[in-house]
Amino acid sequence: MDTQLPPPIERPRVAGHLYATCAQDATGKCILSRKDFKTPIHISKPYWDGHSLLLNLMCPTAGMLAGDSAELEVKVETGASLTLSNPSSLRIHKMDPKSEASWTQSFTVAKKAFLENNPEWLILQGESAFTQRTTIDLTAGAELFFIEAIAPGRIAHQEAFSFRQFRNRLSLRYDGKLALLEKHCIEPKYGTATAWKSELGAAHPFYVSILLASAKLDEDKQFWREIHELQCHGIKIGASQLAHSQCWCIKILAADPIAARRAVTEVRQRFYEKIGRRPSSLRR
Amino acid sequence: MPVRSSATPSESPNPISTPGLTWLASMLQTTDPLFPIGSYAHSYGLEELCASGEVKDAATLLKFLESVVFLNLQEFELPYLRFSYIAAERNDFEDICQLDEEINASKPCKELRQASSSQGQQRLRLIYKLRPTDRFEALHELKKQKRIIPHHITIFAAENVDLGTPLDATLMSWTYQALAAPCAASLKLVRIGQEGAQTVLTKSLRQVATLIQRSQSIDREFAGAFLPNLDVASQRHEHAYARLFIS
Repeated sequence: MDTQLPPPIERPRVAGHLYATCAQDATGKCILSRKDFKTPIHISKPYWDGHSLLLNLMCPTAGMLAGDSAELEVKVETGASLTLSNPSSLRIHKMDPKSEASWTQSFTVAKKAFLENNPEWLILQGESAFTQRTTIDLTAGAELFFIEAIAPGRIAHQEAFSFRQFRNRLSLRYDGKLALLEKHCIEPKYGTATAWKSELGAAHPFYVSILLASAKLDEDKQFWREIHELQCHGIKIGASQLAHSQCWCIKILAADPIAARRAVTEVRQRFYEKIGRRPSSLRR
Repeated sequence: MPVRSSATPSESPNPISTPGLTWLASMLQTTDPLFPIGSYAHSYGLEELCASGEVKDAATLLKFLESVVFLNLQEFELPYLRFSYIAAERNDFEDICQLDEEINASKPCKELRQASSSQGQQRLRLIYKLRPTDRFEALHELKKQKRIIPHHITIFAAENVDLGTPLDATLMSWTYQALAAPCAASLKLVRIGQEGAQTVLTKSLRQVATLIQRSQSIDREFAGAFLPNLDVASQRHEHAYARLFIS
């Protein structure tokens, strides 16, 4: 009997991109002076709310499959304000043992410009492998509110930490100086997710990192105390200054996504009040 | 009173060959708690985990070492110690500066960053004074120019290259320090006792050879540990109303 398996059917890989530049026109309104995108990325019509340009970014496919890749290059020019929202989760699907999907993104924010990046969850589904590379370059005087929200699987379906590999590398530079370099390769099968699984206490698998940058942020104890007081049952939250004094990081670990989102909403509101800007309605 | 025989070392039946171990005494000196770099004042996040009840006894202390400290050693500290050791061996000061900057930016909590930098600076100051070498002269100059912080790993690597400590012994001694420090801190934080802390340390030391071996395959592009639980604990410790340790 011939036991040889037929060769796997080759699925066309999707390699998409978004190249976008947000600039102010002569009237002070923010516009997209450059936009170029390709599946698996699709963008909405940008919406100017009088304070910031809202751009919804979507992945029209089911998510990232084996071999898929995406590249984002987003620039915010002097004085402009961009709110980049991803209203749906980015799912990384099950794939063959040697395959992976990748996402490379770079954000450049000029002086007196503002960028908010507010995506929904990145969900690392069972047997997936994903590499994400992020670089953020802020000119002195730029402001930032940058969220990274990661779920280690479809928790509601009792699938947690069964992804194959997640490689993540993020660098944040402010005025040319390295303020944060987070990089890691997590392979639960090889025991490198132990600190995320919270083996010491109750599980808090939903992870959110919020990077903040503004010259208006300082060591105002009251502000940071209020952030720390958001800790409650199901939420762990901490904040600290990064290697550059104008950059801060807030980390949240949550027992469920709703609690996480609630904490993020509170942080967002307080941050905008602190820096004297008005948050855009994300319309989701 | 009987007189002991005064056999010279060369006459003893099994003489210990020491020339290859000249680095050992110096390394033991600077990894001893007596060496004043202030490591006794840090718990490296453990105090907050004790305050939250996540670490409360010998069993949970061992779990902390295995799930957090091991991961940090394997994925971040030992690879960066290896990169720094190799850069120091080559006298590649550009790379030493780059590595020191990467170590600095890899710590998202101010307290843990300061714990590492204060020990690095104190170690540089002392070694430069006690055993001045060209390499430490150059490191001292880089610090004056603010091109390095320097972090503890940076100086520990350079010091052991100067001593002629083999790389595997350098990695092993760093690992020992990283495991012994929280065990020492635990004596003041949980009901464990000297014997309990030594039991935990002994159990954890059984796994260090595997840990060091695994760390050798980590490449620089993704060398780093994902420790969200420790990060949050350290961030909260900065704002704690009362605390025993600096970190």
